[in-house]
Amino acid sequence: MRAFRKTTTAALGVAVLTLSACAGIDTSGSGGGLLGEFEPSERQTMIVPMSAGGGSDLSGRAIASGLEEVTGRTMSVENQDGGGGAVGYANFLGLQGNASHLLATETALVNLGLTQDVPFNWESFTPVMKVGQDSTVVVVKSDSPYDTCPDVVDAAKEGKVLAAVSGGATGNDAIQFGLIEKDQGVAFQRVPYESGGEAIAAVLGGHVDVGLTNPGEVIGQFESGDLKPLCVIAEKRYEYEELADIPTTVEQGIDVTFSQFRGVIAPGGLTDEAVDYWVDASKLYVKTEAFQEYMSSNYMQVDTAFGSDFAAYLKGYEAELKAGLG
Amino acid sequence: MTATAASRNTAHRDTGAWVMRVLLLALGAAVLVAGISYGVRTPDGHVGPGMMPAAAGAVMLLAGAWESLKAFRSGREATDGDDSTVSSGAEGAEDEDSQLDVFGRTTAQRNRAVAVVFGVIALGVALTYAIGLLLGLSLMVAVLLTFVEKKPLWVGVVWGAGAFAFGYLVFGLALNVPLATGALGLI
Amino acid sequence: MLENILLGFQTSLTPENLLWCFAGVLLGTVIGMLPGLGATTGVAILLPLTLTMEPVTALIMLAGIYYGCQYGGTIAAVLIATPGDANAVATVVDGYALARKGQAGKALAIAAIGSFVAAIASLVLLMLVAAPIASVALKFGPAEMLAIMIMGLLTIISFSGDNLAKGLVMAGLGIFLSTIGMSSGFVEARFTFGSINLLGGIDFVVVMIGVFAVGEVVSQIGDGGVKPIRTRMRDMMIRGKDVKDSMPAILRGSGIGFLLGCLPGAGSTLAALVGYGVEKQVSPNRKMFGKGAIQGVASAESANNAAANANFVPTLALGIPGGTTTAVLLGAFVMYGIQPGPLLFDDQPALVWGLLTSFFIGNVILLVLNLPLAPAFAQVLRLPYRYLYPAILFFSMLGAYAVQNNLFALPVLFVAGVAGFFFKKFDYPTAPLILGVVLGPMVEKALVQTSSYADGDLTVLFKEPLSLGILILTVVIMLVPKLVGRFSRDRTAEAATPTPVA
Repeated sequence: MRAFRKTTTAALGVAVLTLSACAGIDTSGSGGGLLGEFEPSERQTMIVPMSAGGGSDLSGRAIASGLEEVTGRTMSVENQDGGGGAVGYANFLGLQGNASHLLATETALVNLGLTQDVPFNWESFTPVMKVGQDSTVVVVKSDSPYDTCPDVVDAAKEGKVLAAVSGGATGNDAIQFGLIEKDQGVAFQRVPYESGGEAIAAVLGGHVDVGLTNPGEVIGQFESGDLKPLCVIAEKRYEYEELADIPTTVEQGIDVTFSQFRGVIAPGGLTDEAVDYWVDASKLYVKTEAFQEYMSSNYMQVDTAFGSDFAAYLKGYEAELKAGLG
Repeated sequence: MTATAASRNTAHRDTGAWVMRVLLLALGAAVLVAGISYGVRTPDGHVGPGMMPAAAGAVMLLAGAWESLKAFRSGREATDGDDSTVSSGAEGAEDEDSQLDVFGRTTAQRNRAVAVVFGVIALGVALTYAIGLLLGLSLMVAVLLTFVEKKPLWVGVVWGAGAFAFGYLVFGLALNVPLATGALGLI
Repeated sequence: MLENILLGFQTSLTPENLLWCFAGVLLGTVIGMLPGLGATTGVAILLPLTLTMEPVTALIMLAGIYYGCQYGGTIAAVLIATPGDANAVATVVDGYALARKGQAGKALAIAAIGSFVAAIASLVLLMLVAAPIASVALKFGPAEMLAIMIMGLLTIISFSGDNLAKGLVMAGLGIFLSTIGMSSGFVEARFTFGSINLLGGIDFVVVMIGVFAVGEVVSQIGDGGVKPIRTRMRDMMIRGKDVKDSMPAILRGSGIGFLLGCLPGAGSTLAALVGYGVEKQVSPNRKMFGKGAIQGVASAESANNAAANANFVPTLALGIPGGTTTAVLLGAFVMYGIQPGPLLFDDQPALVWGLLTSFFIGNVILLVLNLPLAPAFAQVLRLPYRYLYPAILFFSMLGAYAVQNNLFALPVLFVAGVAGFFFKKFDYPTAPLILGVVLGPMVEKALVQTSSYADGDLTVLFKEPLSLGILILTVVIMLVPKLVGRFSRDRTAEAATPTPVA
């Protein structure tokens, strides 16, 4: 998997990519061929630091096949899971300067550096593209007494509210509940679950009062009326017709908009040309129909950012995350 | 078959069994201590990160001590008679719990064969980091047949190449497993 | 109901769907056979290839891979003591013992028959009562899950053979190994010593391959050149009497497997372990368990297969994955533009019933494939061991790597192999070790959940009627046969000779 070093030997000496280097990324300067001066090797690899079949895997595979289309080169997908992504990111750290590898990233990129003893943080890598947000909806069982998110907050002020948390004690759910707790001055009783599916089962079974989920996982339960969406943790409502009725946290007076992002990063220490190449390719990809279809079938909110803009986003994200964990 | 002989042997069976017991007891104690240091209960009275390790360590210690005591008393601990030494079925009928050498080799010879095979496996593992997964493991197969089992060189080469081809075709191509290329990055 | 089934067969019996069903179960058998690669990986790997197919065809094939894997995992477990799929771990115990006695063909055949019966029985239940069962399964909260995990832990007694103390030591070791790395319940990672690879944890499949496959190979070498197993034709073929003797075990296994498989988060590995554990306590032939009891293979395999099918109960009836593989399948639904959920049965009858009826077809294909293949596969053991074992080592190491595509698996495998060798040498039963590694995280999760749920008061376990019921049932199953045995020694001795009691 490290066969492609030779293409970028020149870049190997470059130290860990810093923000200043990132700021130098500007795609307007790229001329020459379709995608600029840089010529990547024939075979590219998309690393997915999570197990096959999950949300990150689907996203990584969708983006990889999309990039194949726009670059005309083969891009294979490798799953390297373990430690909530830590193993994959750590291996990726060893690919400094290697422009033929990308990694399908999400919250763990920022999260792991803050919560675990790992040798990297998001600044160790080159941000390439953010495709958008996988927002979270606060859900309760259909016969629950709560109808809005403030109802849940008020209940937590008076008594115990059991909240299902999947994805680990420092995962997305935990951060979002943490931010709501902080914003509203309440505390939920968290019950950890291994997967989103188990958490939803617990909500449906009445074992917990409230849960968080990506709408793609529960659209069927919304339709059948088994689950009731209270609010979406976001600034703007969903544009998808079937979700457009769900009010946002902001509308309901809760100032929390944190959501999981999905995107792609490259190893640190790339040449400017290589970075430009991937950013340009990404910009072409998000204009394709395949991209739109992937985003809409998973009910993700399109909100693209590239290169330095993505880096700026990550900086703000890190600050928000710290608050949610604290 | 050799059950009674074996249980009589238990007490003065080689020191190995006692080394094993002590190792497991020590590990159990370490895990118990680590578990307690992680916190068996959280400050607000919930199950803490140390509860499972502490429980696991305690079980290892207590059950290990119980077992050591039984072994120490030896002799008559097996009241059920006919099957006191056959423990897990995974080892089947031909387990080698007595010192008797059925195949006419001395204990030393048998132990050496074991050590050699483990050595070759360890070498194979080390090689995968250097020359890649498939090459390292295929070479291990060839070495086992040629040098350990003393088969002609071509037999080892054929088996090694066959293993390589199967791994490459089935795991690499058909199932898309990204086979690690090691430090040299050959294949 | 009848028209639904007819509609289903109309869908599943089209030449194209039949072909892909066949391809799926065949692929599944192969993937299941290879150590390290299980159903989840198999389905996830082949998912992208199915995007161009009709959704129902794609799902029929992917599901075929899933239940085909359950059959395939058995083959490696019986022949070389390496569970090809994690769910086959309980099959190793008696399956391999039978193989050493030259009865591998018989073990494989009963596994196929048991799997088939379990699959059909659970399928009928799935068709008739998926929705009501799914809503009952939702009643299982943290306390109930904890009670079930305790039931799982108590099967250590069954897996320890005759040395409970050593079995407990091994189970403790297994639980310890399972706590290495990150866990869902806590912020801090444990026992990582700053290593990223340890942060990722020790995968139980790697430990399992190391202890069983590598440990077994080297033990055999230490024994001194195992003779190839020459079996007589008579022993290779399964006889009607064997099937009759195993039927109660198969039915019990199917029941246990189905019940556990309906619960999201319990899983087929647990089902196989509990199925075997319970059978060992109640079987008339229990004295032979661990030494090559055909009922041991039958119970583990039927429980595992029933659970695999029962995973579809919450998946299809509620849109909630029953296990990791069905979670990937649900992802596939979305990719094909089908919305899983409680309305699936009503919205997509052709798809659901086509899929369900394809299970019938797939399982028939698997039975027809596996019965004649069983003696054929058993021929592998005729190979002189010095040719066989390098190949076993090669596949187990490649498989261990493929679990997470991480070379770190190989040193772990090596250490597990060395440990496995010494465990065998000093009569430490290895099955409880695997049980500990598998159940450790599940028990911990249930503990943390129950603690959060009941404000740190774990005695809720005895206060909720359902969990109390499960605990009482567990105690009855695990202890009563032992006590009865104690009271009447002579009768136990009688039971030691395998007399069939139907």
